[in-house]
Amino acid sequence: MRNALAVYVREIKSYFVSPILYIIATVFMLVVGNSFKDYFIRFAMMTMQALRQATNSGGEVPLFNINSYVATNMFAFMNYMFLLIVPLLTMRLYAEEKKTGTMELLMTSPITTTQVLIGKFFSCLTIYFFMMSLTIAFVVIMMIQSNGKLDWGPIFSSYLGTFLLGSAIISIGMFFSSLTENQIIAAAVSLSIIMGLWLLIHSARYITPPYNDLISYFSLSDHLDSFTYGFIGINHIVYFISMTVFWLVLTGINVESTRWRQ
Amino acid sequence: MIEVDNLTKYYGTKIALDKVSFTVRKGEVLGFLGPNGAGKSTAMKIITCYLSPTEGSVKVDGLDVFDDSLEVRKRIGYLPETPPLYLDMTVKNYLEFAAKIKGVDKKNLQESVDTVVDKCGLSQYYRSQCRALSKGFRQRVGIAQAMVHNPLVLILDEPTIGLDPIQIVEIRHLIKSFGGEHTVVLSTHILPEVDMTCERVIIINDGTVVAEDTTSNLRSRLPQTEQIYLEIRGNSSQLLSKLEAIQGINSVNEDKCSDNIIIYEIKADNKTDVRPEIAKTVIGENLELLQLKDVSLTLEDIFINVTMK
Repeated sequence: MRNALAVYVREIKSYFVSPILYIIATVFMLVVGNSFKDYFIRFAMMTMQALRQATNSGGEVPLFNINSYVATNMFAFMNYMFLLIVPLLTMRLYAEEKKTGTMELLMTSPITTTQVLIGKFFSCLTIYFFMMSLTIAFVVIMMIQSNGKLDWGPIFSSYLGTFLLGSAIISIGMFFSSLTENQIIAAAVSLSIIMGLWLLIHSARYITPPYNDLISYFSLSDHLDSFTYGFIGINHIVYFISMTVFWLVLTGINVESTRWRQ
Repeated sequence: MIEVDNLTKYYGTKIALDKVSFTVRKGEVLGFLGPNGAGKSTAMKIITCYLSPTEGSVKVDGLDVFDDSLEVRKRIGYLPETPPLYLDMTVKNYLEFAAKIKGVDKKNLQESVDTVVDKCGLSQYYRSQCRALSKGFRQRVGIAQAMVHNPLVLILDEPTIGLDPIQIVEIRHLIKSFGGEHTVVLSTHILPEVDMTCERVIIINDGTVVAEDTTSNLRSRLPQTEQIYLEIRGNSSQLLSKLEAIQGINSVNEDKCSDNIIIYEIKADNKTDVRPEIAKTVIGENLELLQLKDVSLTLEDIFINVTMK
């Protein structure tokens, strides 16, 4: 535990001393913020138009749900952004250590591969959580603009979904980082695998039942929708956790096996 | 302390170590000598649990590197060929991290780090980033990292590479001071280094041990002629022939320097010591004897001798 904590602290520090995290976080906030602004303005226009129509015709003012018009879209966009960003956060985890030779320090110290793995995984997950938390600013804006009428359930479940998605794609990124000592390759390959798993649901359409269900079950996106609508399904939680564990175990096996594969 | 038994390692189909066996006693400083690609680093990587052997076994302090890997790793400090530094960390943070993952207690942590910083002469760079350090100081941080948990065994892969002459001397002293308390295995292809720091040498070539002995024993084992260096001042045309006439001398090579100084390179049997006879001859000719010394075989000669066979 203490060993894993030492690795965790080192990794977190290492994220904060390199400029890459700040650049990624800034770009992330700019892009997500811009899309939030677009959704929000569209929502405002729509409500204004409806209000005008209602006063002109003397009818009742329809109610618009800010959750479904703005929050849902924002979360969908944020999740998509994370798919692109996470490979940049995970690429260095093992590849850099292999390149600089520090892997030899870890492999010859009395610390298990699993402890290193856990330290690294949770450090990246913490960074992910940190970036995700930055978007609370948008939630606060929504809360103020809707006079506190924001539905908190879907907001919370959406965050949970994003977080679970994060743990799954971080573990995928870690695995591909452990395969190579080239960070660019690690990022590129994890991005394509993550994207492949994300878009897998679209290919399910062209496959005959019952295999289409199987294919879509493996798709990351299939399991995320219900979270944005405020539904927390145990099956979806199980999917993300087992996805995480699967790739982490694979990473652990791969790292440990380098001892005899060389 | 270290028992290596029939160690064999294949990289794919290429053999790196072929049935290597040797032992290292407690407190000994052992030199691991060999040309590039001989298998020195591979053997060290196996002893430190970085690689698994294909066949054979390695025991450190009675524990097998394969079965009790974690326990073995607690007892070993390892400096790889390139010091394993996290360049974005300060020396202080790096050594603290190394101490933590090597299982140093929280209450002893600061003391352990201070001790190695002191021993390796790093105090002036204590708060610098590793990135800012020169090659020599990176090497020192690497050595500090290897000994931060006060291990029984130190494995150093070419510890003096890239250091300046003063640093080399310091590091050699440092390594020598570990002997007795720690067991040290160091690899190098710088031969005088072995002569200065090691009690015993293992010469490895093409994955096999070709010689294993103390440096002085290795020297005497070789049936070689003795070389004597003689420097005189004065003028004598007869000295050369008189020297050649001395019994036991095989050949004499005359080399005239400046200002009446003549240098002779004499090859003799190593059965009898011909030096007193040479001295008498020189004095008898009324010449000034400036230098007369035995140029004994260097490790280079031994090294070339055993690796070329």
